[in-house]
Amino acid sequence: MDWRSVASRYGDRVFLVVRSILRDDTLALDVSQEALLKIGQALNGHTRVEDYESWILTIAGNTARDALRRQTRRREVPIDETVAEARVPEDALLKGESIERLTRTLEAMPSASRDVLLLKFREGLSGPQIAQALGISLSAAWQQLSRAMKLLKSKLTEKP
Amino acid sequence: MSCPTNETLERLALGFLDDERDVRKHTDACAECAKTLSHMRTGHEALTAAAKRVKLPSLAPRRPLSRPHVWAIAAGLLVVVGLVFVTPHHSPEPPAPPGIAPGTVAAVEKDGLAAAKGELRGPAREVNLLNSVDGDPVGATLPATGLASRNRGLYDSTGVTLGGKRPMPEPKPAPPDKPFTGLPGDMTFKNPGVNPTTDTAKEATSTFALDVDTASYTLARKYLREGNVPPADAIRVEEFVNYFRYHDEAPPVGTFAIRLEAAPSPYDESMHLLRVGIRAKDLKAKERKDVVLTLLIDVSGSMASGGRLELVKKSVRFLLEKLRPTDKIAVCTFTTYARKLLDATPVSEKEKILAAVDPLTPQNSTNVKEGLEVAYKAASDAFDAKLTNRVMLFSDGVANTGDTVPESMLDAISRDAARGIFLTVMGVGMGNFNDKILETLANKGNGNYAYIDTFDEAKKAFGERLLGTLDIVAIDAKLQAEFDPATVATFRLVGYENRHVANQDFRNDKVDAGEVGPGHQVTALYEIRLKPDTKGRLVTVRIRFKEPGTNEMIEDQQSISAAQVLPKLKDASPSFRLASAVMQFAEVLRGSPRAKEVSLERVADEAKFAAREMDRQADADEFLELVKIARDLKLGRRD
Repeated sequence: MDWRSVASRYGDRVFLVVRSILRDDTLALDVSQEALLKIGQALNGHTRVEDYESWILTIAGNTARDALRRQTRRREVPIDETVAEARVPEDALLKGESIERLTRTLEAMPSASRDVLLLKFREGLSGPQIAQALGISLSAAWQQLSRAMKLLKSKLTEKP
Repeated sequence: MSCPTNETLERLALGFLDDERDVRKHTDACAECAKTLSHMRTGHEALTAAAKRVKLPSLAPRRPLSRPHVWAIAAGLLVVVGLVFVTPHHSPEPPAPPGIAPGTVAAVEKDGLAAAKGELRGPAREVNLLNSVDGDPVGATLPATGLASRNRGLYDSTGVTLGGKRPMPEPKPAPPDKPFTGLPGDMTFKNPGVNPTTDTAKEATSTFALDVDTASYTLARKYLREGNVPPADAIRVEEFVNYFRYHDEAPPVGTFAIRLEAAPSPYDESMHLLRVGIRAKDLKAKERKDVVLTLLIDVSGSMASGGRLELVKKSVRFLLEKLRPTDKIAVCTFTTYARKLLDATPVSEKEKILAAVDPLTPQNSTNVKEGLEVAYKAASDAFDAKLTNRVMLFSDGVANTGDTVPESMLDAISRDAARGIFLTVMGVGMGNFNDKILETLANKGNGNYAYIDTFDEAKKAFGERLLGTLDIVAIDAKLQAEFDPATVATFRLVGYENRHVANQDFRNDKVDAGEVGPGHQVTALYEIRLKPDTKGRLVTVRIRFKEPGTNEMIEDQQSISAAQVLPKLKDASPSFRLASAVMQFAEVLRGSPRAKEVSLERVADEAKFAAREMDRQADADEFLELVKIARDLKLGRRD
């Protein structure tokens, strides 16, 4: 696989991993570029990469965490709004919605919740892959995802 | 074991359980839980479709920067951002990444990723860690069960070397002596998009691989019938246009007939549409060689939803009715692991084949890689150079793992294709996240790709289209249109975005292209702008392919001149007008900038008249039904 196909295939997910760690669009764009440069650089060398996917996720996650750490002061990361349990049966909610409304609702969500949903459902990452990219345990990754899904469902019960 | 909680079931469905064996054992046996899971999956599929439509900012290509500049800019930016986010409640220490202490090696999720992907097994793996930009070691959280070793060098340490019981062949990164030049200037992080309009003064030739697939249309139909707008990424215009049959006659001699027709463009009357109609020769049923067919059936958990596996079984039963007693069938299945259930067995022993297929039940996760390995091994064992050899994959794609068939696997498939083992991919079930990989597989495997959403569609594939599905009359078929810059100012190929072949490779016979079966029709549409008061030849269309059996390369060509251009769209043949209508519909669905002004009402009218003249009432009815749904979903220009 050459560098170009790696970048066009994994660009979106690199960005999502980075943004879900940094929670800032502009910064995430820059740091994603940085991660992609590193990937390109490594591909240019003698690097043997046998599992591109986890390798790329690792670089993306590490680059983002580096960026976070290099900030001299800690940034307050906004906590997503508290989630009220959806009162409607779960599956009926997602099933019955038009894709268009689901998309709009997703787009309007706070970034941390939205990005973990996108990593799962848009990029199709497995649980362990998400945990690995975000540098957290599988159960912590599940907490994040399940909270995001609850938030999404509670937003869907609001009037459109 | 009593039924697990809904949360546990959802963790199972989304791949977040540490150990899913016990829960899986329960849900495999419990109808109630299976039902809940299937409900959840439907919700997840909707969420997937929606997530695919969320717009992400495009990572605009940046000029190549020398290394110190990159870090200077990155560091500068971070300082700025850091200042912006200063708050009175900061903690004095920069946060360590959760779960990893700096300078330590984290071995997390024992075999987690590997198990999820089902790709890499084996106990010991070495992991070289990535160093941070400023030289600080950063723990990489790779799934490693063995010891990890650290490398402190800058840049040479981004590599991950995974050794195990089954090492995969090494991929080929760019040659080491070539300087890295940053992001390529034309790179975007989106799908192939829409072909641009090309000025013939700069480039007068267009080349692409023929494509007889139709899956994109069938998949979009399923979306529309369920009341959803199909994702734009899933729309391939050529597969829409090629789904319909046109009045192109079979060649009196040779393999292909090429028919060219040009009339004013439906988008813009000052432009023209050129229709290239390719029709492959027919083969009589009795002329077909016997086939050795290796069925590879996905029996992963997701195949339970919507009765996908049952549809596959019913389709296989129908296929057996249509095959000859002397054809042979082998059966393989895959979930987390793959198995060969039946060696190549003549269809005359149908009971044996059905006994292998009928009891299949969906379970566990999807390991398409191992499935393909086992199936190609079975096909190799049963290989007979005198017959047609083909693997037929039935799958809803690759659950949870995105586009993760490794390059090494695709290479192996290409090699087997070159030996004469072809691939048919039968997509079942919903969700275009699987569409891309299934299409790639079919392309690499010199194969065809169809999507069956109903038993009727299966009957078409194995009934009237069986010969086209099983046999092949042209290998690596490419088409090249050479426009005359004196008469044609610009051209745009509508569709075939991911079938592009470099112009200079038209006569490079090593380049993989498209396979065409008997009776297949392929239509290509070009939107062209003619120069004023033009006379003479507009374009020469060439087709080049390898003839199966003789392996001889054959080239054919056809031209059209300005005098043959029709003055009005309504003068065009019904085939032309139907293709034009289908093209517009697909372009509306994929949000092509050219189709902004398209009124679906007019498209429906055009299609109605054309299909009636062609005596294809059933096609017309279906097409009109879909156009109506699309209008109800507020697509196209409102009149």
